[in-house]
Amino acid sequence: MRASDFLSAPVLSPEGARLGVVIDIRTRPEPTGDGEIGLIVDGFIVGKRGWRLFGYERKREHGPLLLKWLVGLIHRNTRYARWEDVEPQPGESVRLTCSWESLPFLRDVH
Amino acid sequence: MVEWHEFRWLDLATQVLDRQIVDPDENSLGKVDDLELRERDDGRIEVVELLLGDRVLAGRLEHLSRRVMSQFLRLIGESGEPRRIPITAVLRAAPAIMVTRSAAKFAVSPVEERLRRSVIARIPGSGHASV
Repeated sequence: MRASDFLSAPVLSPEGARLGVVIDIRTRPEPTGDGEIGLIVDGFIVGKRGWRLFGYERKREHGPLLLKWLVGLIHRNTRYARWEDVEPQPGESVRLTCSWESLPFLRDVH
Repeated sequence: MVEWHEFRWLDLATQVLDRQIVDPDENSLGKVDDLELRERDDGRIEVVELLLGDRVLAGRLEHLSRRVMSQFLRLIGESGEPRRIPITAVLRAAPAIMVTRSAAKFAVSPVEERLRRSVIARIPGSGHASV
């Protein structure tokens, strides 16, 4: 299973209707069983279109302001599907277990 | 091993994929062409390896581009096996991804290595160039 199996994969509603695509895979550091720190998938950044992120969702990226505004406009409806809200099917799709509207906007996820 | 603690999150497409990989001396080894993931016993998915290789990259392309690139790679003799770097061999994650010296040995492209030996090395003065 590879990251590319998920990137650009369709995002489906619980009933199977296509709602959008996976834009990115968000991971977080977490201890593994053998004492190392690994990267665990925390959720999926999903949007109606596959426009890539440009880093402005991270707070330390500030400029250029015009580009930041433009990317913010493009991603104003981009949302974050937490692990608990999805059923990933590698190479096929990511199915939501809740409604699209109940997913938080990416800009509100801190 | 890298201190992942400095990252609360790491978005794979934005912060890892297509990033430059360097050895501890900052020599470029290539770019992250994909990442190997694994499902754990508890059902969660974890990142296990960075993958490098033109065929790995070709797999991410659209159908026509993938076919053209695959034909080209067959011509130049690029093997289908990706080069793999365990995620535990990552020493630094930004701005470039730095890996351990032992992992860097496996990351060198065999085609580039062959070209270096059979073509570049025969060019007069090539021994003086920095690698």
